[in-house]
Amino acid sequence: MAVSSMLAALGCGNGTIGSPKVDEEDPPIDPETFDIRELSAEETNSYLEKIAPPLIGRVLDTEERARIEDEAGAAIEPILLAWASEPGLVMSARSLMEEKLSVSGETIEIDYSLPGNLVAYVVANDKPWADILTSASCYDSAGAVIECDSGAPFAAGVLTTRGYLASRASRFNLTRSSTLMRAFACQVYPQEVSLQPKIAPERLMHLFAITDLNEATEAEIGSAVNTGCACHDCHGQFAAHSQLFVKFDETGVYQAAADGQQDPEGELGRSLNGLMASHFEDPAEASNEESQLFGTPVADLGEAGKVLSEHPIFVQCAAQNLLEYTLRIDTAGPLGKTVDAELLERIATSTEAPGHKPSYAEIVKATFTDPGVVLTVVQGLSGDAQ
Amino acid sequence: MKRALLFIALTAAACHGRIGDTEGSADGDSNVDPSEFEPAFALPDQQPQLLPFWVRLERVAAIVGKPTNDPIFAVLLQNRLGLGDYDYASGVKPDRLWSPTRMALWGKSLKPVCASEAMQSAYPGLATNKTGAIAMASEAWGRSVEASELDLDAPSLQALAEGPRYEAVCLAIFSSAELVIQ
Repeated sequence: MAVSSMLAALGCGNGTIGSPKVDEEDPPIDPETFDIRELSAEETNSYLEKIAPPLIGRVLDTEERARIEDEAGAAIEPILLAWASEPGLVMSARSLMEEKLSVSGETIEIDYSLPGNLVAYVVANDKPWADILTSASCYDSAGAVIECDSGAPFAAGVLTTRGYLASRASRFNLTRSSTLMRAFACQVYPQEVSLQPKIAPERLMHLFAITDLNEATEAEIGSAVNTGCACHDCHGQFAAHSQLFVKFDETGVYQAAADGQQDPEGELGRSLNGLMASHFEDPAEASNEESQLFGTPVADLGEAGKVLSEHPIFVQCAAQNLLEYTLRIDTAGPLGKTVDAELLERIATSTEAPGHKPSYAEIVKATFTDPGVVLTVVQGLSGDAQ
Repeated sequence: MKRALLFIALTAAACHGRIGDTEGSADGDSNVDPSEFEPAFALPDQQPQLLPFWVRLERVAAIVGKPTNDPIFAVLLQNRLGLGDYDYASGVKPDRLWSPTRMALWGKSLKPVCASEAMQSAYPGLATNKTGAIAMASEAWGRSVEASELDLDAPSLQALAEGPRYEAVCLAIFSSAELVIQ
């Protein structure tokens, strides 16, 4: 039975003229239990023809349309599974991440396509999606292994490419940190303390230790981005993330001797030799790239990439990014703000298995077979038509 | 010429609203009742946006049956940044606005494609009979296009010589909202 028929049956004989169609006793459709195989052929076709172009770069082909006509909603899962081997899926993944990280192309000095090349390699070879944050190798435009270019003694996939590091370089390493959180955890600052514990204010330089704006001077307030929050609310968390980048200069090259100290003659937040200043007050801490991510101690950015890629939020964020790219929904802000948090958790959970890290194609399949996604899109398309 | 192009483009663009129509449903079912389900997110309702450039290029190439590195797409690729593609290393962000300037550049960039042997070979009757236009539109839009959806009898179009008429129909389908809009 198609969704519409089921809904029509649910709506029969209820209420009085002018009352809502839905009887108060009729339960709303529960995406936890709804079976997408109940969609009609027309609804299924509308859904798949909406997501196919941005996801695989083409329209539905004759065989797919025939299958939809025959199997209706039951065709969704097998068609999505078949898309896993499409070259278009590789191209869309690359485009999604290049746009998310704002990195592509090349200059004489830096190949900004390395992040995109890695994404393409991971998807084309059906590797775990987590590899984009843990891979020790980089790839050229033909997919051949090359050495990653930052010179760091550890690797963290796209995070240790000069393309990412140079394009996101800024004072106090704030942009590198915020991009890391936005692209791979779908988080903005301030974050829930239960997710990212704050560094104690007494360990930070005075500007970032302010926990009450009434204690700040006009000069201090004037030097900061005016968010209306006390400085420590965000920077207590920024401190942990930005410290991971303290040894990468503005061109993305690793400098082991970096000390995180403010350049006395330079702009606030800049250190010497093209490096950025640390949030930490103590010189020993300021020069140390050890930190913590989501409360887990890490030795460097390489370990941080691993911790992030293994956190449940990583797959949830990948699903949100997919929805954003494929359906052009605006997902600025933390997980759960624009897209239902339970939906993202359900998608991520469905990809879980002991010892298994989902591939991009598996996340795509989990996302676009989720009843909540399917119903929301079908409903939206229905609304467009009306 | 421009009037004919616009006429067909508008006709083609009208097809964009087909999705979700309830009349003529093969199985007689209507669509999901919005009151029955709490959406998990909001679909955008602002101005329609272009598909990413790489998607538009892939779709055009698939219609012609040539790989995207074929020389007939050279002008399209040369103009890719003006057509909304991105190159962050050069400071160019993606731009999904379907502006008049971009429409004109899209059409100009597709002229070599429409004039190519591959195109003429794949759709020889584009200027002379509806069958060719229906075949191309069906390939472009990924569905069976009805003859009534394409008005190729407009006097302004019929007044054109065969060559310009071929190009007008070709560009109109390549520029249709159903092909370029996400």
